[in-house]
Amino acid sequence: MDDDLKQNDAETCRRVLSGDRNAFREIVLRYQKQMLRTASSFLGDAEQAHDAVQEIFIKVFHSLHKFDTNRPFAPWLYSIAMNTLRTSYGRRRRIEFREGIEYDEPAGAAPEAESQNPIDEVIREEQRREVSAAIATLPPTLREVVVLYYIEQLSVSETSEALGITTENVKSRLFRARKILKGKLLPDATDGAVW
Amino acid sequence: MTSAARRIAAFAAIVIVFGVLRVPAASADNGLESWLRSDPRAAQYRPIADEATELARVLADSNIPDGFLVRIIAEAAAKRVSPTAVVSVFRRTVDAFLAANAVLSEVGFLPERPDGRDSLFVRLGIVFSAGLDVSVFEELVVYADNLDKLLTVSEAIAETLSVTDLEPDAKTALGRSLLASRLPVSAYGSVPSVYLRGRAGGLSTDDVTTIIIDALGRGGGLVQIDAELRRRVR
Amino acid sequence: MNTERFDTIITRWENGETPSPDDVRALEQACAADVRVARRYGKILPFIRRDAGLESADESPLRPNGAAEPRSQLVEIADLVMESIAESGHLPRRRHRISLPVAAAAVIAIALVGIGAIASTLFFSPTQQPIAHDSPSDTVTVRFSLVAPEAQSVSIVGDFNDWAPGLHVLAEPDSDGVWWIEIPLQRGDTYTYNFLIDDEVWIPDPRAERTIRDPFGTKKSVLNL
Repeated sequence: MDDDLKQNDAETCRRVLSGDRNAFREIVLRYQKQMLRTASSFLGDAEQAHDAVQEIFIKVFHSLHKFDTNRPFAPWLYSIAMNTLRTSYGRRRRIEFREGIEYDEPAGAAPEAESQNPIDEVIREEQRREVSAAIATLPPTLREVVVLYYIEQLSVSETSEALGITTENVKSRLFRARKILKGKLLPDATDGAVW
Repeated sequence: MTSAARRIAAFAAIVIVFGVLRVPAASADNGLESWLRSDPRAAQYRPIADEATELARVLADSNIPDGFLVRIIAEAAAKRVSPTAVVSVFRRTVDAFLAANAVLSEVGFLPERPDGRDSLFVRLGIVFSAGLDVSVFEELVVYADNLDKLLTVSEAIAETLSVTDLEPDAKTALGRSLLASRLPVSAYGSVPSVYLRGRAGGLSTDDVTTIIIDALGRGGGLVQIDAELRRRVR
Repeated sequence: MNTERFDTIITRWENGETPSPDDVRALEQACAADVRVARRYGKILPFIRRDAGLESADESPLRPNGAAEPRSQLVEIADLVMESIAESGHLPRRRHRISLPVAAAAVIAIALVGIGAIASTLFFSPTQQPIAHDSPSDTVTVRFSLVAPEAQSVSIVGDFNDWAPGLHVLAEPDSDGVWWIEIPLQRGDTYTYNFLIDDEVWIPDPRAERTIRDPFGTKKSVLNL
C-alpha cells in the first residue's frame, strides 16, 4: 500500500472520529470496489456480496474508535470484512442437513470481458466460473487466505495482519489451498482424454 | 436360561466389552485423520479422505475438536451413506462450527478447558445436524444469559424439528421467546410435545408457535400454554 | 503435445517453490498458442502468476466481477451506508458479555433403576421414572429396552460403540417381547443412537426422552448423561 494512501486513510479516519460523519463516505468510496470483489470471491454470490459490503462498512464505522490511526487502515478493514463475511457466509448456507444436498453453485456470473476471439471469451468465461467455484468451495479458513492473497494481492504479512494469524500460518494455509486448487482446477495429467 | 441368569450373563458381557466402549473416546482423541487411516470401515471413504482431512485441519486451526466428524463418519459407515453425502455433511458441519466458534468467542461463552470444548461441539453438532440453522443460533446467542441456556434452547428447537418443520424465522422467534420467558431451562424440552399435542388437535405448526410465544410473552408457562391449547382444540 | 515441462512447473509451485517469471511467460505463450493448453492450464495460471510476483490482469479468472462493477451500484453502496450510519447518534461501543462457565450437567430425564448392586456404578433406563442415586463414579450404566416381539435380532448402535453394528446385541425377550441390554457409559457425555432390527431396519428408541433428525435424513435418539 502506498504511503499517500495510508496518510489519507489515517487523516480521513481522524476526521470521522472528530465528528465529521460525512468524511466516512470517502472511506466507502475508496474501498468499496475492493470490498465488493473480496465479498464476491468469498461468498460466490454477487447479491449477497452487495449486502455484505454495506454491513462491513457499517461495522467499520461503528468500530472506528477502536482503530489505531497510526497503523495501516487496509489490513484492519480486511479483518472486519473477513469477520463479517464468515457470518454472512454462515447465513447464506443455511444448514439443512439432508442426504444428497450439495452446495449451491456459486452465482459467479462474471461480467463479459472484451475479447477479440469469441472462443477465447467462452473459455475465459468458463474458467472464471470454475475458478470462482473452486475458491467458493474451499474451507472458509483457506478461502479467506486465498481471497486476500491471490485476489486482493495483499502480501503475506498484510494477510496475516488482516486475519489475525501468524505469517507462518498464512503460508501453511496457502500451501494447503494450492494443493486443493490444483486438484480442482487442473485435470488429471494421466487422463489421456484431455489431449 | 432363567431370567436372572440371563441378566447376569448379559451384564458380564457388558463388563467384558467395557474396554471397547472406550473406542469412541479414543477415536475422538485421535481424530478423523486417524480414523481414516486405521479404521477398517474407512476404505469406502477413500475418495473423500483428502478433503475430509483438510476439513479436520480447518477445525484444528481454530482449536475446534473434530470428534464430531468422527461420530458422523462412523454413523455414516454403519448406515451405508455415500461418501458424497458424508463430505457434504462435513462441509456444512465445519462451516457451522466455525461460525458458532466465532460468535461464542465474541460473547465469551467458549469454554477454556478442552473437555468443555469437546462436549460443547458434540452438542452443537447434534443440533446443527438436526436442522438448527447456524444463523438462528447466531441470533439466539445475543439473548442467552449463559451457554447452557443457549444449548438447551437450541436442543429444544432441534428436537421440535423431528416432529414438525419450522421456518428459520419461527425458530428464532420460538428460541427468543423461550430465552426471555420465566420457564426454567429444564422445561424447554417440553416444547416438542406441545407441537405434537397441537397437531393431534388439528392446529397448524404456525398456530402452535403463536400460542407458545403469546403465552410466554404474557409471563405464562407450560400451564398457560396447555390451557390455551385445550381452549383452541376444543 | 508435450506437457511435461508445464506439469513440472505446477508441481513445484504446488509444493511451495516460487515460479520464475520465465516459466510463467512460457506457460502463457503456450496457452495463447494452443486452445487445448489454455483449457488445461488457464485456470491455474493466474495463481502461478501471482506467486511469481506478476500483476494479475483484470480479465484474469481471479477477478470474478469486482473489476467491472457498475458504477451505479457502487454509488448506491455509499448512499446506503451513509444513510444507515446517519441514523445512529454517535459511534457506539461494542457490547461485551461476561463469560460464564459451561454448566456441568445437561438435563437428565432418563430414569434410574437398580438392577444389581455394583459399587460406584449407576443404572439408568430411558424407559423408567427416575430414582435418585448418587455415586462418585464417572460411569453410568444405562438400561435400553425395546418391545419388538416379531424381531429376529435387535442391536443398539450409537456413538458409545463407534456405530459398530453387532457390538451390543440386545438380550432376547421373555414372553413380554421386551429386548434389553445394559451398557456402562461415561457420565457427562451426550450420545446419539438407533436400534437396528434384523440388521436392516434403523429406528430411534421409541421411549427415549429426546429424538432428533440425523444428518442423513432419518431419526435417532439422544441421551444426555
